Amino acid sequence: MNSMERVSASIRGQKRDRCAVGPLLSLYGARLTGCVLEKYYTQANAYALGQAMVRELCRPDILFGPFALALEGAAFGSKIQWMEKCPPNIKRPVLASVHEWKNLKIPDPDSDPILQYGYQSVQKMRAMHGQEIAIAAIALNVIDLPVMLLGIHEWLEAVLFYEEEANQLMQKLLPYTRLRINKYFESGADAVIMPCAFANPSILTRELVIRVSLPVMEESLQALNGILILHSAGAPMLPFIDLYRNLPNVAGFVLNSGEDMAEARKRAGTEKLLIGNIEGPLLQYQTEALIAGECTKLLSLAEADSRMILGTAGADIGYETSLDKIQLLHQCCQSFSQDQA
Amino acid sequence: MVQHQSKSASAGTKDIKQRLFLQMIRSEKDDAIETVAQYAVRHGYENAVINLLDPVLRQFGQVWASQENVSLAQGYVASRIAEEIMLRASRDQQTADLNIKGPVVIGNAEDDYHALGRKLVVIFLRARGWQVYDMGNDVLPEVFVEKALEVHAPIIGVSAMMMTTALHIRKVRELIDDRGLTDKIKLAVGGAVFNFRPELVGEVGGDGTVRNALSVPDLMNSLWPSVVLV
Repeated sequence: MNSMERVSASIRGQKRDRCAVGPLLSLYGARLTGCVLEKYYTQANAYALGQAMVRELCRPDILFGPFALALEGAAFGSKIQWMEKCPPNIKRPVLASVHEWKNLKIPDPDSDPILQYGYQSVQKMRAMHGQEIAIAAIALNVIDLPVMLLGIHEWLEAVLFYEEEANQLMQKLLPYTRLRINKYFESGADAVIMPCAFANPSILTRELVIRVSLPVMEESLQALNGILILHSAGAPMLPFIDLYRNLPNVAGFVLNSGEDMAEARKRAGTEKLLIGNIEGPLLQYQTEALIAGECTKLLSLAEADSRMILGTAGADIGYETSLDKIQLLHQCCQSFSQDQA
Repeated sequence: MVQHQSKSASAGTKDIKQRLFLQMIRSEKDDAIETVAQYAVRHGYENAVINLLDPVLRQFGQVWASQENVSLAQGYVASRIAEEIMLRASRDQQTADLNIKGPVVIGNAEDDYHALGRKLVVIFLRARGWQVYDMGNDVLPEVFVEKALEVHAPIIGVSAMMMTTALHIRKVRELIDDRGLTDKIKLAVGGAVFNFRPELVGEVGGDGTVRNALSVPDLMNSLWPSVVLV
């Protein structure tokens, strides 16, 4: 089985030669090629070369498209701050408050150069690797995109106290997000990973998620030409997973670090893919013994659950993480399957 | 003038505190503000802040720190309730003699633009009577230290959300030490990354941290020096 076949089998719940591995190594490609981040996150060639190096040295079964959510804010006019060892951040949002929503200019997903960078990165990765490895793009949910346009403070204020205008802004963004996600599928992505910050219990109450987030998610996730994997966005997902399981085109979930994958299976149902949940951003601070132990626990569960993939939780694996620790994930998978055989 | 409460009045206040706490947990902002306003009609805003708002915020902070099922939205609504009550209290002539603690200097670490946590910290500190100098986002170490010296603040509080920006806090520590201010200025640190990795507090030279914005006034109290001001 090649990586693509292994991941496809996982999505369909079919037998695999071993558990697939999908650590989030979008950023790490820049470390491996020594590429300056401003170039890495603006030039598709540089990104694709970084991911080719990730594939060669880390041997994952999934490669990810650029995970730099602030770039999407930049396409709308927000100012970003480039960082030396992590993706850019929003420095100044394009809107001062939700009351300005009518003034927002929506970028054209077919021509905007910042958005094109994302598609072209996926296209180049697909051209380089053919059908040998799965490629997942990363795109913002309509409920989280306003964070890049307003900042989290103003968006929270809007959701809590100006619900009608918050909904009007999301309705304005909805056709754009659908088009953008479909552009990723056209570019060759096998799935789109979608963080869900404003639908998780560390940000909003269950009542607010049901009233504000779910209806617009339901609407925005229809008419997509591929599958979505909802990501915990570095916060607990399990308490609300029952709310997401029937959303259109949602094929699975990336669980947060420390969440009980067996319990997630019970709550998500047997048909959903579960990815998780080795600690990603703080992997560099964990001992190899701890990482191996966590992997073995997850692989034991995955042995009886073909819709489970060993992946990392939270944001990207840190820039400073030693290559040995990342390679350990693949090695654990290999040795576990050999032991089972 | 702060009023001393009789036993029955104290029992009544206990019920009102419980009601206010529940209103905060349920994010019932207008109802919570009304609860305090009704109390203030009889007792004044100074007493409302001391007898209701302050203990309820402390209780809320403890719940937020100990349970995972309190959301940022609930914390944010609590901050808006506190902000509104403090605004009303500042307009109330009777609050003129409210004890002011501080000052402290607060800001986001160099390159850090995640302002929400800092803004909550500032609101909750002010609600608990602290004088705060808020330096905003992306604050250089020199700016923190110069401001602390200028306003005689013995505590600098630095917020950072991510590992990369949290490591910039080391430069604040180094500057404090290099200028011979180690015993005169304490360094409070906070932000999501410190919750995930508490040992980072020591690595960046922090003197203390807490898990959420509501607990910051307690941290400031614990760091508040017995030494003379700068």
